[in-house]
Amino acid sequence: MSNDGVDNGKRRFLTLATSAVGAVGAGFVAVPFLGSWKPSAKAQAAGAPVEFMIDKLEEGQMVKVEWRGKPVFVVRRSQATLEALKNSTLSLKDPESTNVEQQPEYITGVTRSIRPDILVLIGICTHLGCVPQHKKATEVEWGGGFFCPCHGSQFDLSGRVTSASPASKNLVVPPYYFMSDNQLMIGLDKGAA
Amino acid sequence: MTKLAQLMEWIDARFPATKVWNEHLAEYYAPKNFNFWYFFGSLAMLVLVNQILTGIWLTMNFTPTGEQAYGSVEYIMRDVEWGWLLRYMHSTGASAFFVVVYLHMFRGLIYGSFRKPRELVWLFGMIIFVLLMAEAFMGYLLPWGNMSYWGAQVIINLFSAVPYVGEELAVWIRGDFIISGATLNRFFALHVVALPMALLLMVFLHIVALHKVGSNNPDGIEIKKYKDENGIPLDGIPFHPYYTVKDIVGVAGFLFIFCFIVFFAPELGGYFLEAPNFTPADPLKTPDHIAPVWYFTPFYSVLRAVPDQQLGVVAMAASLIILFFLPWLDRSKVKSMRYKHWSFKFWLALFIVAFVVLGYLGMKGPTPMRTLVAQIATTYYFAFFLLMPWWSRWGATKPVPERVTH
Amino acid sequence: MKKLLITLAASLSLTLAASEASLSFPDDSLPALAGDELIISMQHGMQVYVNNCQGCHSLAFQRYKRTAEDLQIPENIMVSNLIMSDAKIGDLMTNNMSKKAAENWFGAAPPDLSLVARARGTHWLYNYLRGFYTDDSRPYGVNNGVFKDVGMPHALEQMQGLQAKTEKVKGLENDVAYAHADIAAANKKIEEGGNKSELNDAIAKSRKIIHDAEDEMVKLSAEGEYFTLIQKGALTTEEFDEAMADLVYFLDYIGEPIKAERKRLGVWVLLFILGFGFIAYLLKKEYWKDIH
Repeated sequence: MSNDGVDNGKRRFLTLATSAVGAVGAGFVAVPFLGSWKPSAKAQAAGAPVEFMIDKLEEGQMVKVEWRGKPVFVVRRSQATLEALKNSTLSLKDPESTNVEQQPEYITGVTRSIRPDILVLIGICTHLGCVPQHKKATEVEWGGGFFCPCHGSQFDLSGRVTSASPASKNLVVPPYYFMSDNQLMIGLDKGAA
Repeated sequence: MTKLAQLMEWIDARFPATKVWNEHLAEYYAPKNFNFWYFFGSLAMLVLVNQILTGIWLTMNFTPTGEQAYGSVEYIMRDVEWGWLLRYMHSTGASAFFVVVYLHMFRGLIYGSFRKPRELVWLFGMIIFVLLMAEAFMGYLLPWGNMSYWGAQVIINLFSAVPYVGEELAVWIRGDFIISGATLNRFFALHVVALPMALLLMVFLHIVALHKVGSNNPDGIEIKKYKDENGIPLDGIPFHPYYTVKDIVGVAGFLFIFCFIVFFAPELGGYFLEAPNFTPADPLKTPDHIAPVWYFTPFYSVLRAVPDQQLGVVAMAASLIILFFLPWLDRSKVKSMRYKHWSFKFWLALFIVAFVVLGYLGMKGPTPMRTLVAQIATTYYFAFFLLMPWWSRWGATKPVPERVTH
Repeated sequence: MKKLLITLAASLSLTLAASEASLSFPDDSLPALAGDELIISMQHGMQVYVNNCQGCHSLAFQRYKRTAEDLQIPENIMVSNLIMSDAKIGDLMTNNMSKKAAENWFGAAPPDLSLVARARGTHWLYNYLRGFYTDDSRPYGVNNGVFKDVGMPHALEQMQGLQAKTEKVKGLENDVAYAHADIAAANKKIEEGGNKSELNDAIAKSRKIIHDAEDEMVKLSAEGEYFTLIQKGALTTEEFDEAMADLVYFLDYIGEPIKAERKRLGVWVLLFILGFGFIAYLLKKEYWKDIH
């Protein structure tokens, strides 16, 4: 063994080149391992948008629909409720729904809905993830809405959080659209199909 | 002192990082005349890592129950993103493991790598080989195809050949009167937890033992005999960088073949994945033709060659056990094939023929002619080892050089 | 020495590899297809499958959505034309047949066919599907040339019509049966101590008859003279063969949906490894200049 006439530059270059290509190869190898953690075709099929008929939904009534394993609340609000929402006396943290992460861009205003009477919300408290209970407008004195039994967060009938709640964000509105007057598609923006 | 050197000093004061690196890589002196046959040790490590990684990932979606195992494999193949690749890497890896290990053992055989002072290296290696067979056998049941099922059925029934308690022993191993979900579940636990841990431990011991005595080489001489003034063997070169860069080339060559099979022929014509295994396990219907996977067939042939069930099992076990004694069977004055009498090559060539013929016959259904050939090959297999103490001393050896030829 | 070994090995492998597979008819090869032709064939095959097979045979590991993507079928066409149940596009391609009821009807539940192409191979499938022929001894009045005494009725009779073995074939089968009987009788006589050389001659003669008859059958099959149509179906023989090729290619896809993609990907993987190996080889050569 001798080290005379060793071209150190060439050696360093080749070491670097082999390491670099090897690192790229290792990156390629990582792809299937990381990729396999994505939702499988089965999970995606189970998480597909769901259709829901609202013709049997009565005024003031709430129905839970399952989408991606989560409860989605669908409520038909009365004219009186809508009036009350407009002139709300509750102290709210985000009355104008300015936090854009809590609803699709086509959901605006105090009703937080596409059609004023139909409210669609993901029924998971924005505090720590419990499922809030629905309170009808006629049931409670604060005008009705959603009450989370875990830590007492309150949301009005547009899913807006009250100032006294531990939760700081409004309930999330999922993407949805009306396929017809009585048919809801939950989990998909209109025209995205 | 640079920051990095400071960090290394801090670590070395608490953990022998630099010491281990030097002892096992940078200042581990390996003979400079390693040839092609010396790739397979590091390749076996590579395949082991592949099996462990892909195996862990497969367990994430595999369901070890009789009702769902078969479906969950297809779920991995279709619904899990990249699941097909992980599965093919694992199934091809199983066969690749045996290819590499058989070649690794063959290297030991031709250059006398098992001889004094490397007896323990060989014994640890043999334990690895037996563990590997158990690991492969149990893993083969998991896809719960019809071949998995009946393969396991046949092999577990071998235990019923044990006198007196055999039948009960087989039932105890299965946890049922037939192969069932209970068997699948315990095989799964052993396959993914117990045996891999045992394998890793034995691989560790195999390497520790090797690095204590140093590597053999194609000349079968000890390089530690001639050292320079610093105590470094004259014919030794540091494993790192010389053999690391060389092994990387071997790895690339291996990966080329391995990936060719994974991407273009994962079934490899039914040798790596067998057609009947694409039918779910059916306790009421045996496949038309049952054979173990190729790497078990030589030993399976030995089993079938003996016309008596109990003696057949004994013969099969003996064909494995006899390999453990190799270090004490070879009595030749020299280690390497290169300097042995020409008759060694002759016996060895016959042995290869016998082993391959046994492997081939193990895949085929029995006919009188084939059974006869298997019996001849089996007889030779045992004769090769049992008579080795005599024939290995025959004839004149060639003079062994003092220094390695390179 | 080496030469001797090689000849020895070769002659050994010949005796050991003595043919195991017995003859079965039909024994035609699946026409080779590639590219767009193959995709179109698979699409047609799916049509044939959902209309004729899916009622009894599920494809319980495969999803409609994946199939639509891979076979380039637009999802709305898939939903409106190829999903016969109320299944959604993301669902598995199952059916509503009750396993228990099916066992009562057929004796055994019709198997799931997700992996049939991998278990049986495409050559077998192509000939099995075209191998039904009339046989009054069977419960459904049909037998199969590739799958003897099959439990399945001839589900494609409406398409194919009904075929029967030709008179020539029946005659040859008769000859073979008699020859086998003669061999058995001769063997028995040898056991009983008859004239060995005479009887062995007789056996050899019978073997030759069998051999010749089998050769003749292979020839007839190749010429399309093995079966003859005794009752016309909705399709001509050529159209039916084509439909069956489509069906087989569809099942081949269903058996391993990733097949085309893995081969495409494999080329890049191998090229990458080749490149890596080349650089690694240069590195090795550079370092090993030190070693004399």
